[in-house]
Amino acid sequence: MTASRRRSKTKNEVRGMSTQSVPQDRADSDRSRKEVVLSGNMAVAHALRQVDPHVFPGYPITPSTKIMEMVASFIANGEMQCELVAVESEHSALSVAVGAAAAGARVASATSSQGLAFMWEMLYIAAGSQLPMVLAVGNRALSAPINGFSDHGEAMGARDSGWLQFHSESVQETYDNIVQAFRIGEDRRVRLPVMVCLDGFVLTHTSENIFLENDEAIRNFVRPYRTEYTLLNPDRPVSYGLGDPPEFYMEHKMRQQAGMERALQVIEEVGAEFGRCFGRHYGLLDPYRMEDAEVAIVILGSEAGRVKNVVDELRASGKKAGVLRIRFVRPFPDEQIVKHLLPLRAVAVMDRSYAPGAVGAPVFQEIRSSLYEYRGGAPHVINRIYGLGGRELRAADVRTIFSELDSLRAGNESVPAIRLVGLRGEPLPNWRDQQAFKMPVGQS
Amino acid sequence: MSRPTKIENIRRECPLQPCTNFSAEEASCTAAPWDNRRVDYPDYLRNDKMPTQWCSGCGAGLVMKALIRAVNELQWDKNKVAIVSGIGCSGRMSSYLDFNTLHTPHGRTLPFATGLKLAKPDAHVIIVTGDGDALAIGGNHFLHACRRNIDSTLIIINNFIYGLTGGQFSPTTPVGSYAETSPDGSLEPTFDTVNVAIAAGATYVARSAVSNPRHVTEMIKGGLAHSGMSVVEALSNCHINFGRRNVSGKPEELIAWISRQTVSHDIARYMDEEQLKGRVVVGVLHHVETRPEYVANYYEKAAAIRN
Amino acid sequence: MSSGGFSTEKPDAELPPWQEMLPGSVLDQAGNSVHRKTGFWRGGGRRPLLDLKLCVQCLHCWISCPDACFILSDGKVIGIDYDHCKGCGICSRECPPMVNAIVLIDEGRFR
Ligand SMILES: Cc1ncc(C[n+]2csc(CCOP(=O)(O)OP(=O)(O)O)c2C)c(N)n1
Ligand code: SF4
Ligand code: SF4
Ligand code: SF4
Ligand SMILES: [Mg+2]
Repeated sequence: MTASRRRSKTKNEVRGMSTQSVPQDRADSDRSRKEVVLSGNMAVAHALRQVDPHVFPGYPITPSTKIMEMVASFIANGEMQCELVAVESEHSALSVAVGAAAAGARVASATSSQGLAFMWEMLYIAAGSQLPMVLAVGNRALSAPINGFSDHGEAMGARDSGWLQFHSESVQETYDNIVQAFRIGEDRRVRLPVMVCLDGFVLTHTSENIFLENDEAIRNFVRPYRTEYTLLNPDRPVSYGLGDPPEFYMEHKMRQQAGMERALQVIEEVGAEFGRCFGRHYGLLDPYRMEDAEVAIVILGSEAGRVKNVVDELRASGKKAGVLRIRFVRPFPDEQIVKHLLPLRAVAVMDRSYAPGAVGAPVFQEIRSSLYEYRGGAPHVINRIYGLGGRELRAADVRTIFSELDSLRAGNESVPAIRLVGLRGEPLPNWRDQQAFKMPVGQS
Repeated sequence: MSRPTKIENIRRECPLQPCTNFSAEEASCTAAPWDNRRVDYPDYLRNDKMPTQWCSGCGAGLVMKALIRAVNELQWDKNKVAIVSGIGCSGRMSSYLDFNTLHTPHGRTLPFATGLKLAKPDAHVIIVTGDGDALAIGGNHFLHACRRNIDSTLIIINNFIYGLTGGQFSPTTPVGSYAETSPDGSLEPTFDTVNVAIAAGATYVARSAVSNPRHVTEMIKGGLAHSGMSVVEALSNCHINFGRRNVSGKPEELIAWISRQTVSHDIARYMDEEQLKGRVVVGVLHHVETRPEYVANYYEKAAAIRN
Repeated sequence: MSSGGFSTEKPDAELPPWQEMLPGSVLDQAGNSVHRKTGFWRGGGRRPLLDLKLCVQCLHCWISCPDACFILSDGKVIGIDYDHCKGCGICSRECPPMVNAIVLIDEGRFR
């Protein structure tokens, strides 16, 4: 872990310094920002302190409890004006959030695993009502069997609920993502709730050196919250949550879709502005050594750091390997991903979630379907499912995957299309005929 | 009987004298004489799971032993007993007890138990939850299980806090107490679990405290023997997450604090409002046989329809 | 604009395209439930007929109609809104027996 975090920070610094000349606002924030040691949960809480939303409803759950606790102590110390509502369940928490957001408040909350599962009904209400809000999700495996450790199962389950979904690699990125999430979700063109995922324990509980930007600078960046349609506004009365007959429902879904589509552009704009202000630039994707790569791994979240380490190793020995880290699952940046993957010969999509009975895990499914248009020239795509319920992904596992990609490139038919990394015992013998997964071989 | 005016008088009038556990401050004596039958605890435990993961001195262990004693005294067949627990420190109990056990999501014990009991009406269903589990996230189920009056025993280990998640205030955290989510003292009024249960229709409602483990046994035993929804609230010590911030981080001191507040039902009868202020009455507080039990009623109706 | 939560039964061409609808099915018009006509619910049921010559203006019918169908003018009942009357018959029952100004007639008789 240490190595991966070290890397991502160095990279951020390089990214920040290299390109543009330092603009004035950036220079200002440089002077007053602090370098501090914070865990992911603490970083989220500090971002929330700086943004200071109006309402924070919450119910504790490991591993994201600390966020709510810190918000409580910031409020007690007078550092936040926010209303903390310690409700009796996550279902209530998100209900409070929807009510507050409909009344025109800026809202944030945090949860994990079963907590997100228990929010399910309200996830769709928030998204369908197009109410912006920010939810930090400390990823943790779903029951049963009960497990306290990290995987992306709950987030992937929620990927079609209509929320934007960030996945962060480092504590610094988590902090930055929370700040940007408010801007992106609240943008008039988007108006959708945003989920910011951080891997349980690996990010929520592990401390890292990060830049904590100046409170004022963050507040200026996020801007005061303005929304057009609020309850209790006698000048413009509105109703939320009305029945929608068949001749309107589809059109309202299309409104949501339009918000998602436009979000792709808004994410890039906000990421660029964030870079101008604070020196850390963000886009939709985080390609690492992809320029001339021949094989690559596509991955989300904190384990990207480990894969990057292995890629460095492989590059040192002359192998042209790369990593494409996806920062967003929703909206899914298919065009941008395809652009990076088309020149490759073989790709392994690493999913930290599982979809029993499906043809591979969620990210794999979407990437493969994005590549379908290019089937003449698309690379081989395989799925490696790793880290379920907190199972450790070792560097050796990653090396194995890269060697699998190599042999796939060399025309070896026996490489399984889908595999659980680190699984004890033989996989099911005919667990979906691997031939069925093979993308037609590209031009050699 | 004349109404005593001073606590001193109550002590003299206690019907159960001599009682080793009784003093004016620690009025938590048992109403019933206890059975000193020898209990082989390991017979009832999954010994490969020992020691428990509870903090040393945690009241949950006392409640678990009391439950074992109660089952032992009733001489129930282990295979006929089903333990349903939720999530929380209290919820771990289902991993330790060597009965049929069902570990359910946070707050959902009672619906799972309802399904279990309906499918297997012969099973002795015992539900173990925390205050958060039963009253916050599972509060709705609590009301409806009481309303249906399903033959089962709900043991609420009330440690005044969300223990497992590290000490956030719960619906039973006393007003003004400090918790992770109430750094300035909790503002929210609390549930009176016993009265809620009675109002919702439970037919056996008792309260006890781990300061008097034999009393806990008696209360649980009463609940197990009763046919209908039994609710036993066991006041317990979470010295780590409640005590440390409020009374004391030492288990014995927090248990003494609980003990000081409790007063037996039999004695409380002789106390006036002034004397009862700040005290929690323990004992069997409600016991009726008048309401029909749900499962029996259900099968009766079903049989009648079929015939 | 938004649907207002009622079925319009209009042809597609008269309905707004998605771009013209408010996000999140928000409705920004108040008091539009009158557009939802429920009179046809009377179907083959009964229709209340009000005889103003008998009426003593006690307003019992006005307060007890669940669908607010009694039309008032200057504080006096002047008629029934048949676009919304569902034919429940409560008004007829509530009209004082000595007055009996509202009678229920089979809807079929009006066809
Ligand atoms: C749906 C859901 N929300 C939140 C949690 C996190 N959680 C686990 S235990 C607990 C509180 C337990 O408190 P209580 O029921 O009083 O049991 P105790 O630990 O005090 O015995 C919480 C909030 C969870 N497991 N599932
Ligand atoms: S945290 Fe509290 S309730 Fe949980 S085991 Fe420790 S003392 Fe017991
Ligand atoms: S019949 Fe019913 S709905 Fe119609 S006017 Fe009378 S009370 Fe109103
Ligand atoms: S209840 Fe009868 S008398 Fe009274 S206002 Fe109505 S119609 Fe007239
Ligand atoms: Mg508790």
